[in-house]
Formats: sequence, C-alpha cells, structure tokens
Amino acid sequence: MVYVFAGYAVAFVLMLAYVLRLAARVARLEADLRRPGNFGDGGTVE
Amino acid sequence: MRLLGYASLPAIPVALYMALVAAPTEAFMGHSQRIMYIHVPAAIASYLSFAIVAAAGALYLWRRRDHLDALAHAAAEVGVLFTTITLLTGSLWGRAAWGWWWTWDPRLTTTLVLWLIYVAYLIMRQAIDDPERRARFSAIFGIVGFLDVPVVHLSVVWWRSIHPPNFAGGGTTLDPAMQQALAVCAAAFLLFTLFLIALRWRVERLERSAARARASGRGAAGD
Repeated sequence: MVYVFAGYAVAFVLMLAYVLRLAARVARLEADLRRPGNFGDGGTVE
Repeated sequence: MRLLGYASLPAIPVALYMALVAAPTEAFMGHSQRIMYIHVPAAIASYLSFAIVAAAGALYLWRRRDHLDALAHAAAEVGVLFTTITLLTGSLWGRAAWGWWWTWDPRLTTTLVLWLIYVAYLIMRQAIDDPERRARFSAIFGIVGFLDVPVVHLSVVWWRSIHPPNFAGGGTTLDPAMQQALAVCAAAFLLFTLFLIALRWRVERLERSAARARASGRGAAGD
C-alpha cells in the first residue's frame, strides 16, 4: 500500500506543482503585457 | 484551453475513483498493482506529447511559423514531465513486483533514453541564442528523438523483457474491470495532457510577445 501512496503522491504533486507554476506565469505575463508604459520605455519586465 | 481545463478537472477525480476504489484488487500483487492506473496513462501521455513535438517540428520546417516552434517546446516540456512520472511510478512498481527499484531491462532502458533525449532537447534550446536557428535545430532534434517512441513501445516484443506486455494488440490477460478502469484513467490523463500543453503553449507565446515588445521598445528608445 505504501508504494501505491508514494506513486500517486509523486505523480499528483509533480502535476499540481507544474500546473500552478504555469498558471502563475500566464497571469504575470498577461498583467505585464496589459500594463501601459511597459517594455522598453521604463517598464518593469527584466 | 478553458474547455480542456474544465473537462479534465472532473475527469481526474473520476479516474482516481476508478483506480483506487472501483478496480478490483489484483490477486498476486495486491494493492501495489494499482500503480498501473497512473503509470500506463503517464507513458501514453508522454508518447502523445512527443508525437506533438515531432509533428509541430515537421510543420515548422515546412511553414517556418514561430507558433509551431512554441508548440513543440511546450509539448517537449510536458512530455518530459510525464516521462519522469512514468519512470518514478515504474520504479515503485518494480520495487513492489520484482523487489528492486531499477534494472537494465529493455523497456526501462529505452524509456530512460527517451527521457534523456528530450531533457537534452530542452537544454539545447537554452544553449542557442538565435531564434530561427534554435527553432530549426529543435525541429530536427524533436523529429529524430521521436524515433525512440516506437522502440520503447515495441521493446517488450523485440527483446526478452521482464516488463508486462503491451495492452494494445491483445498482449494482455488483464481483467475486463481493470481494463475499464485503465481506459478511464488514460482518457483523463490525455485530456489533462492536452490542457497542460495548451497552457504551456500560451506561456511560450506570451513570453515571445513580451520579448518582441521589449526588443521593439529598445529599438524605439535607441532611435
């Protein structure tokens, strides 16, 4: 039973971490692209 | 993308129910056999992802559209995620079924090689600065790398292997109730895989838009 728990935990933690990271990146990039005055004229991205 | 997300969200709990509750317990391995319901769908998800890498790469070489290169990059990353899950859950299965975490069995070895190919693909992308050159090299790498997928799949047929046989092609004696649970899990994973690729593709396109906006801003500032 411990192997089943470990298998499902590993898979779902990896998938959840990945999807949350992607969702956060989409939200940040969309906000940056919408912000007026951003990119190259005193904006904040990198 | 939202539709895929909304479809895969309820599909995952249904798949978990089928795998952990509805599917019968295997006579010899007991509950440990339930790892199969996540291991096999993860392997199928990685095949699908790498097929998209190869297809998007081939289309890029033909049409030279940036969004096709972005799609190949997105699918490669998702494919590496699912190959990692396949290897880790397979290792847990091996420990429960055979008593060891790893063996240089043809199926295990070719799957590790597949993982290394696409990790190398992602590293190579980081190493090339020129976007057009990076896209061209990546497309060729992605197509050639996909040649390992049929080798992985047929490794249990071509060579003597301790890995269970393939389900496709009648090579299994799996109980019909287990086959049903596996089919539901595979369908849920495929929906979730397509959702992840679509989401990662969106990130890639947004990052490229931001990079282009930065470049044009710098160009305008330098004028």
